[in-house]
Amino acid sequence: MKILVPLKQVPDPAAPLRIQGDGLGIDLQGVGTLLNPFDAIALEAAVRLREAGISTEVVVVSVGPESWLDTLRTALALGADRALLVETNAPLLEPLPIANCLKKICTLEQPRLVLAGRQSIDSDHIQTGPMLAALLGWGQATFANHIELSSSALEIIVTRDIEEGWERVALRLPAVITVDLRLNEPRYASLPNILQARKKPLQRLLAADLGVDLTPRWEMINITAPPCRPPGLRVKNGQELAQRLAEKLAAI
Amino acid sequence: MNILLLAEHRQNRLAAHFPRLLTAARQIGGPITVLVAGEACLEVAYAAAQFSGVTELLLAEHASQKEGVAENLCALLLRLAPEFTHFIAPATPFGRHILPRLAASLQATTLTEIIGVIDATTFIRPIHAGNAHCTLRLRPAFTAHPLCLTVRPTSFAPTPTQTQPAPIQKIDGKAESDLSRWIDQAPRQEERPHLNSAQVVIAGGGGMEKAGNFDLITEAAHRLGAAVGATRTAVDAGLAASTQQIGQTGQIIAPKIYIAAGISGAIQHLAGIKDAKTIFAINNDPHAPIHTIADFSLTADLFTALPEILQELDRLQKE
Repeated sequence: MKILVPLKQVPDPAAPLRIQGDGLGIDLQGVGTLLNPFDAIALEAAVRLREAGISTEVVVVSVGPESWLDTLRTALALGADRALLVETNAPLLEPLPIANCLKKICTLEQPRLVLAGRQSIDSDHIQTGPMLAALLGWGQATFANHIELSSSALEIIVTRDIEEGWERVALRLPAVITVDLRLNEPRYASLPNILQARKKPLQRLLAADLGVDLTPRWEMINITAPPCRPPGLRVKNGQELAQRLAEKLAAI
Repeated sequence: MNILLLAEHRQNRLAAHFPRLLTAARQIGGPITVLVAGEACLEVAYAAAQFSGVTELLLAEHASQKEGVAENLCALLLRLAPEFTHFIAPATPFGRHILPRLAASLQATTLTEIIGVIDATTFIRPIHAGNAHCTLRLRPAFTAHPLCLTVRPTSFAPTPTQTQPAPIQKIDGKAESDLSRWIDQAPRQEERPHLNSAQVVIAGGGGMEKAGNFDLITEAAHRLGAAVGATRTAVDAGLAASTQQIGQTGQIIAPKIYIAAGISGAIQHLAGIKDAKTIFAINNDPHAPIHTIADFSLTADLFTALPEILQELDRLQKE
């Protein structure tokens, strides 16, 4: 069973966010990058399925600029068998064009399962996974925290987080699953694996060749810092805090 | 302009955020049709029809809609799609599951997690976990496409009720798909209010790792009638469920009172609590960033301070 894992490179969230002087973008100069944490969880799930003999191949794919090759190499070091970069320098790439590109890749690669992160931690759209499922006409499960799959299975059983607890759904394969934090804890890449990853196939193709319209439909008007909260008060002891808390509770 | 608003409900009750979601729809303008899809959910339809600005209510009852299965609900929405220009759902696990599927099926223009409506085609949404807000305007070339939007209800004030409820029209809800099959569900074992509708929220962080459990927080929540939240650190440590996580990768909350217990205040957590009205913090590290964002903060060991605070609160409230 082939599993496809779409990946995104994101700026290090531990770095303070700087808005560009023109207010139209985020200044990423000198900011480190990493594999989007949710995508790392999706990749880990796929690699574990291959290690368990359920999957035969894990293919990772990114739709982004050349600089994302680093992140794809990281994914290879983390256990992916093969990587694809759908190269584009298009600014403000929106989730629908990305999902349209991924659909084309699915048509070429014919995976039985797509495992994706629930969202990227920079643009926070939370759209691409279910969009891809719709475009392929496949079933979907978002925010998965547990998956059950056997190699002969025609369906996959997914436990997903919902507002009131969890629910289980069975999806007919092929299907798209987006993963949540609790699914697993991703491994770190070992040095031998990093060296070995250099020998793994990494294919590049141009987004333009896929015939997908990448035009953004939204125009960025401005980016601003969120409004600041007024400075607070440091209380001396628990009694004072209790006093303030009692006042606020009484006001509800 | 013709808006279809997707109403979320559970156990035959309209979600508490509905009047807030409606406010966002009203700011966009135009007639608002509300869709209530489910099985035997007439009471939900009655509840939603009471709110001001609802023009019409579509009630789609069928067993296939019972569990909010995306493939089924989306098939139903696609049947209704030609009549509408805007589709709006809440930015909750429910809306985030359904709306992108609908959007891609329609090749619609999509914008999610909206926190502000400037006009019918200009919106504000947070990026980088709310550490920046961006204003986006629909490009004129795409105004003919349908718009699919998810809205964070906590960013909007609730709409009041209207004297004359909107008419309810029953439609065929049947939309079955063999792509997915719902098996079962289980509620979290708790009697406390939900994170995103609670007036008071208390959350624990990495500081709770010392205790190895969340009991102290849970007890305090019980005493305060509060919902229990957690930081990513606490969730990663297995002390709390991921559904309890507040922040960039969890839930964005806006309670009246938020109490951060043993939480340092990582950027990604602060992003989830910025809309809280009053923030209280207890942390033994005087340099923890949470102290700079809190309205009232105490530098103290949580394990001695929190029981003391609750005791003092009992005394004060008896007076």
